[in-house]
Amino acid sequence: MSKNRSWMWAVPAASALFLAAMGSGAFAAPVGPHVGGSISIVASPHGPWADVFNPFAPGETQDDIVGDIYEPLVEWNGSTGAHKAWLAQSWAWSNSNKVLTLHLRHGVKFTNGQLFTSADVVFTLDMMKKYPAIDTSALWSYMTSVKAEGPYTVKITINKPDATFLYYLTGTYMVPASLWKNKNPVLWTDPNPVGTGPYQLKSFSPQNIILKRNPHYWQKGKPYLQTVYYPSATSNGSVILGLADGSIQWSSIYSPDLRNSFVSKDPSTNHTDVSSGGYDWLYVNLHQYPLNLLPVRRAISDAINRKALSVISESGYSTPSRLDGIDAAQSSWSTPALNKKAAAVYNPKLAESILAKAGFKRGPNGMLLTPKGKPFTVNLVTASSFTDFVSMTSQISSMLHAIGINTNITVTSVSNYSNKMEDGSFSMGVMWGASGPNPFYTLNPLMNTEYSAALGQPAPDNIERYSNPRVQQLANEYDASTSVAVHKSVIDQMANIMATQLPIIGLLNRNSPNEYSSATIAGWPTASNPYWDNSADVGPIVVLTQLYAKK
Amino acid sequence: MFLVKRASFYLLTFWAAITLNFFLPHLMPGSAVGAVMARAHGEMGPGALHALELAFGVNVHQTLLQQYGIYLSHLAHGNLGISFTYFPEPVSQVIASTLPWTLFLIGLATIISFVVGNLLGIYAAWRRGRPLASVLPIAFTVMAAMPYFWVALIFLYVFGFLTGWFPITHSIGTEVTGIFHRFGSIMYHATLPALTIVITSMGGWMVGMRNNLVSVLSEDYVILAEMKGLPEREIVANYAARNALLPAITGFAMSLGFVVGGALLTEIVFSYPGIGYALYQAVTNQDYPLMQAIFLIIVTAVLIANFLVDLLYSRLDPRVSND
Amino acid sequence: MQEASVVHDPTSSPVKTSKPRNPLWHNTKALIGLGMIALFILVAIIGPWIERYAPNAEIFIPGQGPSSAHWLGTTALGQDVWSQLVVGTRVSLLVSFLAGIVATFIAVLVGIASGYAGGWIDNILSILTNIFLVIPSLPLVIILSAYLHLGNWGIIFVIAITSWAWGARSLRSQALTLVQRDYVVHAKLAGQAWWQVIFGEILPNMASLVVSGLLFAMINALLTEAGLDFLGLGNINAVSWGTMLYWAQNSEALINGMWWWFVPPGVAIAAFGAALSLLNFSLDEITNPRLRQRKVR
Repeated sequence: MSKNRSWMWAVPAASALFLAAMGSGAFAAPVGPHVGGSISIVASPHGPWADVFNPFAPGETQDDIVGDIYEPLVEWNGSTGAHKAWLAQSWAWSNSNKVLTLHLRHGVKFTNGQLFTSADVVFTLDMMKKYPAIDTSALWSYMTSVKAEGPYTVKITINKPDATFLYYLTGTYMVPASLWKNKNPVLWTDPNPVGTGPYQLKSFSPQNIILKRNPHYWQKGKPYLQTVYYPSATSNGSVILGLADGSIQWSSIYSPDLRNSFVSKDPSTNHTDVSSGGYDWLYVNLHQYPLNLLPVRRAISDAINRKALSVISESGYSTPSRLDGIDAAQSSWSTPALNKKAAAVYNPKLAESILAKAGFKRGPNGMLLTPKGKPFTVNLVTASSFTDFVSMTSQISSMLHAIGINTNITVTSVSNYSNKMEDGSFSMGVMWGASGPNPFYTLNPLMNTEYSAALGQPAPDNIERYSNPRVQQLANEYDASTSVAVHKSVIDQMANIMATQLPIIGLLNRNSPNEYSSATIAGWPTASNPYWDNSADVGPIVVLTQLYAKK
Repeated sequence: MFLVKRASFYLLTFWAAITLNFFLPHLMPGSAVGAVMARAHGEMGPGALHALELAFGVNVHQTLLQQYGIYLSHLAHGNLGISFTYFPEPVSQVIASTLPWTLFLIGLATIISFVVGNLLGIYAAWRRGRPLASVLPIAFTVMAAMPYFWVALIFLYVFGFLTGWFPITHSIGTEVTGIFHRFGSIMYHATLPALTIVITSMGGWMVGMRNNLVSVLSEDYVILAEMKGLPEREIVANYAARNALLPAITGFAMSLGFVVGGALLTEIVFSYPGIGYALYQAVTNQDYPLMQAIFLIIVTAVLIANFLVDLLYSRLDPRVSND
Repeated sequence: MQEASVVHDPTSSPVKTSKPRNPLWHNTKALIGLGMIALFILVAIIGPWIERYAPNAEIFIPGQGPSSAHWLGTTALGQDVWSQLVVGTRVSLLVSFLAGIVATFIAVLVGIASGYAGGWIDNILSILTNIFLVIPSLPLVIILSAYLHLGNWGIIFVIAITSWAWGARSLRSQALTLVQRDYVVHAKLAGQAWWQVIFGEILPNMASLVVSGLLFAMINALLTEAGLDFLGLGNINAVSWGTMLYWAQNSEALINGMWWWFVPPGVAIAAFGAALSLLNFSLDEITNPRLRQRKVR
């Protein structure tokens, strides 16, 4: 899928959709859900819009909007890995988990009036085979064939069982075969998009994209809001100003003190919450001495005050994490034994004694020497555009300095930073990691050699270059099974490896704030009714189809 | 002859700019694919790296010379490539949608600042010795030393956010129809950004005009006119200011380069959808084609403006033909 | 502001080598400007003694207003603003001075070589000067620093490389007139070496123009560096006035009401810039006597 939604996890509630709309409607507004009204959304500042609605375009400029127009087979949500059947109504595995049969929803129409059928699904997937450039999830590295069986059934065969395939497959946006068959999807800008989604393009300008309600949407009566505005924004600052003065109603931007800059302007209507998604990790190059020594990584971990990182660098949104890659929102996958083992501690004294025990001694200038007698110096790399990482890196540097480790910080461009990290030409650096519906999606890519590469070659996820055959075995076990018990056991063992071997060091659970105003609009997910993740990113149609104007 | 000379100089400069422009991106570490991946913060699937490389057509093995040749021939055909940031939108499209706003904003601000600055300069020279005439040049010189973006941010905050008098983003309102409404909306949105540029760039004109005029006013022919009993107003308007304006006109074109730079920062602060902001985005995304094209457009525009001024100048001052 | 030196025709301000008294000390504007510059230099030098805390240490309660413990409050990252401002003075002044000096040095070199040597050297150097003059410098600097990801030294170099042309042009025309003056011609005829002529006769007579160009280049460097830092293209881990503004902007300091973080660095830049332009302004008055004449109508 071109737009992975791996970080969009919130509490699932299969039947909460209906209840949510009714509940909040009856409570907060004199008028219930009805067609009319409008909303202004700025998911994040991208600058002026381009006239591109191609859902397979690799840039991220139009991501937020394309997802309102084109729809995937399944909407993913929920920290426990729940999902909501969308264009696909149901699915089943057969032939020892190598054949996936999808049953499509009936009566779904594209906005040009054509029926959405299995032919469109087959076409979209075949197009990804023909144009690998749009197959950003590498679906065809799993798939061997895709066939239609009647207008509403699609059969997909994969080369070996893979439990994560469904997740990656079903995020793919479905496009109409009739309009795309003569197009090169890599270069087609798709200025007049035709999808099955709740909204369709009304007008485009670089400063404002306006969507109007799709009156023939398959969810009868929905969406409620007649018009959706996507004004372009160039900076978080301008979005905050727009939120504060009420010209923007929904956003998912980062800002240090939203309580002061947004909520306090009208606490009765201005709200914030957070979306959780994965970890911020301290990556350590395992090919470098002495970072390849476990006691060193353990000491580094113990020397880091995660609370300070959270409060100072992330304004407290992101929270201190465990060491095993299990997100706070995914704690149901953990066990009490693991909870204990994976807890991160802040104990610089302990860190110093671990290093002393491992043969590190203080040199004449009071800084540590490695057992080989060389100064222990670590280079930290970070990207200037990621100011939270810059701040964290600077803090980590002084925390390490406090236990006697010399540090240098390199602040460079985003591309140079990510190239250095991916190619393995770094010592240490803060970066995000993969995530998904359960901790397997985090742990496997981070530790499996399948996601690694030789030094100098870009590695997709395992950039610390951890190698442990046990991880591969566990991954195969996971893929071969659909049983939750097996999955749970695999995750437990992988998390154990992560927590005890520390191939990389968990820092924070990555949470990003969302901002929304209930002044004119009702139907939002709330703390008491968290029916869906409240992020405005990437076509937030599950929430958007619930929202309605208060009058 | 003068114009031919100038034209060939501009062509040479243009060639220098496009060549520099071509080589610059090849000097830097990092790639566009890396930047796109990193911007997505791990939200892209496992195949994204390879897919993006295919889509962007990077990793093509050509020698630098071949690439330079291709670059020149594309340029000659007006093919500026496909933007990485706005992929797959052609770069020319991005420029077409942003350039008019910048031309408008810079044009407006420069004209205002030129006219008002020179008028104030005339006043300061003519009424030399009066308190206001002494204070004005100093005040505006000091203002010219303030950072554009800082002034812009203060304006944005005070006149946009705190008081709500002016819009805080964009160059035109949402769904504005009718030519008068559109014009009004555009002017309204341009007020603060233009004001920022005017205030920080006006001092140069004023001081320049004042200094030139002071010199001119002590020239023999002015003193002669004075002795003949011509009214002061007439002397200043008909003789002195006109002659003092000549050097200011060459400065006009030269200053464009600075104003473009200042406008870039101003556009970012006011979310003004011009070419300056696009350049900034291109730079942060390592969007080579877009960056190259924007730099080229800026240089071309400045060169054309210079040439136009040369044309004007050769009309106003016949002496330059002998230069 | 940049236009002023170009518009002001340098040849119209003949420099007398003998001055009865130094008029700089009798010009209030110049005194104010000099005083402010001296103050900034003092702060830069004694910085370590008055900075109170480590400037980058993120160790205080974030976002506090000014108090006796934190004279200018703390940043959203828990750093002491006063300490940052003091340390930032060093970096900003250093960049401004060095870039200004390097740019002026190049300008003098090119300007005199061009004006003195004439002929094809002059032709080539003039074309080079005009090319640098006409290519807009800020976009070029932005692109250069984005590509090369420079540290402070790199930024100084890039700013100098893109800003010498203004000075070179005015120095060249000054040199051209000076070369034809009697005493220069005389010195040449008397068999003085070229370097004797240049250092003994020509350079001293363009001193005011050189100083004016230097002040100008310094303002330009100050503002350019601040702009680059503000865009995050400088070294954002180094504390300078520009990076302070970058971080303040990044944390929406104004929107969060943290004026104590955002206002001081901007005021510092403006004040230092103002001091330089005041000096330049009065220098203009001093060397161009006509500007001084009080003529009340």
